[in-house]
Amino acid sequence: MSETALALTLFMLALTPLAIAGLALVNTGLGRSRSAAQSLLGSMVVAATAMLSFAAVGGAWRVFGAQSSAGFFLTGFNALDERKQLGAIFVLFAAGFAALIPWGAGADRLRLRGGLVIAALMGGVVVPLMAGASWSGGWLCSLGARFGLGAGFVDGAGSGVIHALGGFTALAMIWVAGARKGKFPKPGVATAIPGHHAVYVLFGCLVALVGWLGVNGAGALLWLGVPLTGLPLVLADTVLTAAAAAMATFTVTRIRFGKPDASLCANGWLAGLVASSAAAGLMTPAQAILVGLVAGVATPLIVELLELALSIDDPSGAIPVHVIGGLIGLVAAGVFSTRTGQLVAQMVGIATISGLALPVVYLFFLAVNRILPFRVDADGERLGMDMHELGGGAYPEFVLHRDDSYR
Amino acid sequence: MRFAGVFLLLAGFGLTVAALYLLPGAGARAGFVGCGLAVELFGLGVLVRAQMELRS
Repeated sequence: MSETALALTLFMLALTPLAIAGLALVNTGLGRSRSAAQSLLGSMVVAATAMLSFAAVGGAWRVFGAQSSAGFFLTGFNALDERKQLGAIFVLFAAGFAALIPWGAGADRLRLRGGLVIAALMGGVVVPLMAGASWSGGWLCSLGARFGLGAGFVDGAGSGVIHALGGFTALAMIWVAGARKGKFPKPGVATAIPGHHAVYVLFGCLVALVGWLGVNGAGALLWLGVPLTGLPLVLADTVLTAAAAAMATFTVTRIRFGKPDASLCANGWLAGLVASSAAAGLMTPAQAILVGLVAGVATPLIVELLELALSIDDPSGAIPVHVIGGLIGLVAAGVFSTRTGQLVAQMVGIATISGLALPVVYLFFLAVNRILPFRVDADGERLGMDMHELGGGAYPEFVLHRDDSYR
Repeated sequence: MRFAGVFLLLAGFGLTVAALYLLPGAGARAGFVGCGLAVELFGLGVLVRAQMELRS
């Protein structure tokens, strides 16, 4: 790796925490005001736990290449070459990023300790294993060489490894923890529980864009083999996919509700970013816009489907943004590839995430929930997570509204 | 019922992996990978249905 490539990859990796910060802001804004401090503190400690868990255990899963493993507590880190070191840092951030997704979906009812257990599992086992399979010469990566399926599973910056995986984990968590009290008063009826701070949400989207430029740039350099001269296309694809997705959601909500919906537009923007992560740098700008349009149209429709038809309470939009956006990105990487069998390789990768990771994580959560309940008790939910878990609110000088759902 | 959904998800993944290792032709392989995904989708549907029934 040349010194220029090393410096640029390091710079891109240094931007990556902004994606985590943006997502944390979005998650906090989409929750209630009486859970805001717990949500943001939780984002910090959940990401920290996932990264520590990766450092403690994840490094032993051979995620830096088949020939060398850093071992427990990254003991062999210094002996790795610089590309593998950068790869390890990428997976470290990926673990923190993925763990935030179920934390956001559990807003207003998931206890801190539940979030930490999930983060430890994500950082120590689930993300490193998927990353090892997809990014470091693992079996998904080598589908092309072994079975003639294109270039093997392509997922440059984690549409599948970070987002679809995090989204499916969020789904498992939602099933285990249940919906917020008052969300579904009767079967087929969903109460709207709006987020408390649209400014956090929309500002978080803009912060996330900067972080995503770093994630996609570093991912393309490290895992897709994109040369330095290909970086402008990576950045253009990322921005265009997000922009097209946001405008598509803006238009769909404008038509459907008469006015554009801020939180859904934010979800559309994020879904576009997620969809761009698989193949940014491999798509033409026009293809990136098409991918964004599909993600942006799908997002509000999936939100409605989940709430009204399937009774899934997902306050942060983890499933439409991260699962659906991620799957759209992975499929797009196969559809727009000129290599024979690339779409089949992408399908095998999707089948691994949904068919192996989801059931294993769900069974683990069912077992852990019997010992350490994920969900706060009814009194805690009534008081709000801030008072119950932290003893103080995020906005102590504000008068909080009474919650009519507890009458 | 939810464990049936979990089983179907795992079975779909097993079908996908088996298709890769056991089938020589690209067409048959692609078809069976598609079938594996369809089984997973069915399992996901069963799991969603089971969760809705549990809630009600």
